[in-house]
This record gives sequence, C-alpha cells and structure tokens, in this order.
Amino acid sequence: MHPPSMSSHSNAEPAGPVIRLEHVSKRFGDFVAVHDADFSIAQGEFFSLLGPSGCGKTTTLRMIAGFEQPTSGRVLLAGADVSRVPPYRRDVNTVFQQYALFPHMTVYDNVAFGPRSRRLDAAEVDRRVRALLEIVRLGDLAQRKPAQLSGGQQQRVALARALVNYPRALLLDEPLGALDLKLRQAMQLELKRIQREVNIAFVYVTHDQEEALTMSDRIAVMNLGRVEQIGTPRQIYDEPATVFVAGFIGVANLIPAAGGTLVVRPERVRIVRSATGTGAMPVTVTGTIFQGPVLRVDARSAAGVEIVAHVSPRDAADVPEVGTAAFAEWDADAARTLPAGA
Amino acid sequence: MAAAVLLYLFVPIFVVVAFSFNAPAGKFNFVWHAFSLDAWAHPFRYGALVDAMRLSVAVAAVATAFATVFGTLIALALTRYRFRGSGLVSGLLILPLTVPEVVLGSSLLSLFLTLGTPTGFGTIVTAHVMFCTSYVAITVRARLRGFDWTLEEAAMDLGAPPLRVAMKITLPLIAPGIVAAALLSFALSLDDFIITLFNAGTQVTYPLYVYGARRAAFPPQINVVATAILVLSLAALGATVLWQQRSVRAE
Repeated sequence: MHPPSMSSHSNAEPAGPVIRLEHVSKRFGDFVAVHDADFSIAQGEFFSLLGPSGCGKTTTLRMIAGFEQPTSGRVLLAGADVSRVPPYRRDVNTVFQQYALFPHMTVYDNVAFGPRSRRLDAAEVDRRVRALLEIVRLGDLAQRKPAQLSGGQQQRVALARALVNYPRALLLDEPLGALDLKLRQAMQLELKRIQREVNIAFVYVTHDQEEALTMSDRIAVMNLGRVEQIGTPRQIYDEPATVFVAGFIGVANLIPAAGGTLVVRPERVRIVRSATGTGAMPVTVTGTIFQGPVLRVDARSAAGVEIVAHVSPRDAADVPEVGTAAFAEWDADAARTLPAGA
Repeated sequence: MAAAVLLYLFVPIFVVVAFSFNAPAGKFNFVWHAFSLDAWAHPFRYGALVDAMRLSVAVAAVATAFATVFGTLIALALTRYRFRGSGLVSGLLILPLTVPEVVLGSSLLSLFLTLGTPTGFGTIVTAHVMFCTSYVAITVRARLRGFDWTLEEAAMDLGAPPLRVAMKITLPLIAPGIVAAALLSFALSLDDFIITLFNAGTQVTYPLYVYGARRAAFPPQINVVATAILVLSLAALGATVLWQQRSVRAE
C-alpha cells in the first residue's frame, strides 16, 4: 500500500529545514501584518502557528503557500528561495479553513485535480487518488459531490486533495474550526495519525491553544504580527518567554515584582491559612468554583493583584473560607520572572 | 383583480399567437377571418421577411458573442479588483439601461455620421454590442457576488496555472450566469427597434420589417415568426432556470 511515506524528495537531499523564513515581514499599506518572522521547520515536524485573530499567523501561512509575497525577507522551501514563485509552482499544499472544495466536481475529481494539473498520466492519477482516499477512509464516497458530504467528510476530502501531490509540507489554516467539539477532537487524533503516516511537515494555523498543545511538536506563538516565542508545548507552557505567551497559553498568575513580572501557573499555587515560607503573599479569598478535575480558588492581594489557584477537589476542606485572610505561596521553582517589557 | 392584470398582460401575446392561425381576407392580418394552418405550412413564403429574420438572427448572434465576452470580463474585473475608477465603471454600466433609447440611437447615428462610417450591418452590431454589454455585465456580476474566490486559490495551490483555473473552476461555476446573460442579450438584440431604426441604414431587421409591413402588406407569417420566437424564448428560459437550480443545489 503506497504511500507510507511521501517524502520521496528528501531521501537524496541534505537534511536541511523544509521551510525557512528569513526575516520575513509583510505590510499592507501602513499595517504591519507580520514583523520579522525568522524560523525554520524541519522535515516531518508538526509545527503550529498559534495566536489570537489578527496576529499574522494566517498571513505567514499564505506567504509560505505563495498567496502573499513578503514585503521584505525571504521564504525558502527545501533551501530554494521561493519568495516570488507563484503558488502553482510551489511544492506545498494547503487545507483551507472552509475546505474550498470544488462544488461542481465529485470527491474523486476534487482529489484528482492536483495530479491532473501537474499532467501526470491517468493511471498514476488514479493510483494516487485511490491511495489518498484510502488514507482518509473515504474510498466508497468517491462519486459523491461535496454538498452531499458531512462537515467531517468534507474535511477529509480537503486533506486528501492537499496531500495527493505528495507535497514537501502541508499547510493547514484552522482546518477544524468549522467542526463541533466532539468531531474536532476526533479529527485532531486523525490528523496526527495521517501526519505520522505521510511523514511530512505540517504547518498548522490555529487560535486554539489546547489544540496546538495537543498536536504540535513545536509551536510559534504570535501576537500583533510578531513571533513571541517558539518552542515545544512543554517549553511554551513551563517557560513562557513573554507576558503575552504566559497569559495566552493556559491560565497564568502575573504578579508585578521587582524588575519585571512573576509568572506562576495556578496548579503550582497553594492558598493556605498560615504561611510556611518567606515568599508567601498575603491575600483575601474571594471565591471558589468547582470545575470538575480542579477546584478553582480566587484570591486578591492588598495591592489588588488577582491570584488563581487550582486545588485538587479532595483538598477542598483545607481551603480557607471565602472572605478570610490567607496566604498564596508557591515553590521557588514554580515562579518565573519575566523582565519588564517582555 | 390579479386575474384582470394577468389578462391585460397576456392578451396581446395571445392575439399574436392566435392570428398566426388566421387566413386574412386581404393583405393585412389585422381582422379575424378564418382558421388556417396555411401560414404555418409556408412560413418562408415572403423572401423579404425571411431576409429580415436572417439579418436579425445574424446581428443578435454576433452582438451577443461580443457582448458576452466583454460583459463577462467587465463583471470579473469589477468583482475581483478594486481599481482606480472601478466605482465609475459600475456607474457607467447602468447608463445604457437608463438613457432613453431614442437618445442612444440618435447619438450613435450622429457619431457614425461624424466618423463617416457607412450605416449597415456593422453599425447595427456596434450599437447592439453597446447596450447588450451592459446587460451582460450586470447579470454576470450578480452571479459573481456569491462566488467563493478561495476556490481559485485552492486550484492554484494544487498546481493549476491561471488559465487552467479559469477554464476548470471559475468558468464552469459561473457558466449558468453567463448563459443566462447571453440569452438575455440575444433576446434584447433580436427585439430592438428604436436604436436599430437610427443605425440600420438600408438594412431591414425583423422588427423594422414588421413596422414597415403595416403599410404594404401584413401576412400571418409575421405572427408565425413571432410565435416561434416566443416559444423558443420560453424554452430557453425554462432550460436556464432548471440549470441554475441544479447548479445552486450542487453548491
């Protein structure tokens, strides 16, 4: 069964990055959509561009696909500068947000469009289309029109269509955004499975931090056109480089401190009646909320700093009453100081 | 009330059709005399009528061909790009629809006279292309309004150069709109009287022939041709509606 690996290109090539952005900026008039993006994506890597809407993640993806050209800097695919190469001559393919399936064509013809555009012979086209429909488990729906498919099935067609050219990298623009939660979670696992199966780089644009943490090998967190931090999910969560990253990924306590901001994750905070160490912070408990796996405890310091602690519900009895004075404390290794301006 | 209005709308059409089955007492088919299939059996008896019809169809075909291409390109340009003067172009498109035909016809004639262009087939076609282009552009633009341009990006992304994108994606998807516009254009051209009257020179199109016929002789064959046009128009209309519905459902 072909193809367990699609990366036929890379065998003979030096193991450089598949995608490289060199100081890429994009301006639309006065608006800076992307500022000085500079990073590489490796063969077979699941790489996410994560950030709120308008942060420049989609523009970055569109520059890799070729729909936008950088105002300055270079985009390299497998070492070659493609900054001015049109999309139809780039060896990457895209899964669009709303799938963009061709409504007048069957599933089969949608998937066959890529190899036919590249003038492969009919037998090869057929072989590839069948192989891809097999991978996304849609073999028996080949003759349907897109309108006759469910959202999840359309998603799979879009995936098959984008993989059928055996691209060096697959670009995905919020591909699960249109699906409901259950289906989205199922498709996350499905996408990971397919990515391992085809073993090419996936560049995944999302605003959903949980999705990015679940699926990615590395994440680039973007805000206001800038890449704030690039790292593994673990690094991004445990060692946020900026206040924005700390606040955007999960929940974070941001406490003003000498020379910058202290970042402490809620699960590392304890709210206790009497301080056990010297670093404890006097607070008043303002509320508790049972959230299933955790009990959320809200507290406020005299200076007005809001503190959130996640406590195991089994320890609920140890939590001070709402309205009482208490201390928020954490172990030294739980706190991270970010210098001012970061 | 509604029935009365409908009657009011359809009586003239009914009369035209009914009188194609008349055997007129004299040269003028204006008064009912007797039922006859004679005119239907010999629709091409009058050479001048046949020539007029042939000219009208030729004019309509050529004018529609040009107008469809021009109008579609204008519609594509207007929907796709915001360029300097695009607002002005949109505004100008409506002009040929709103300016009275008498003004258009006479202005065009004075233009042709100024340029020294001999009036005839060429000037008729030129005049028809002018107003038909507007109709086509407006009709196609309406169809393009809901067009999902990411489909073009998707096609390009998959390796299709611009021409292939146009032939395989854009055109097939907007084809129902273009065909509807072409049919409209053909009907408008076939039917035009005032602008044609000014710019036809010695040429006689079907509407001009009918107008002239009221003086010399008005055979029932005129009604036969009119009825045939009516039936063909209805058939074309029905076919387009069915096709549009089917393509809408496919989306």
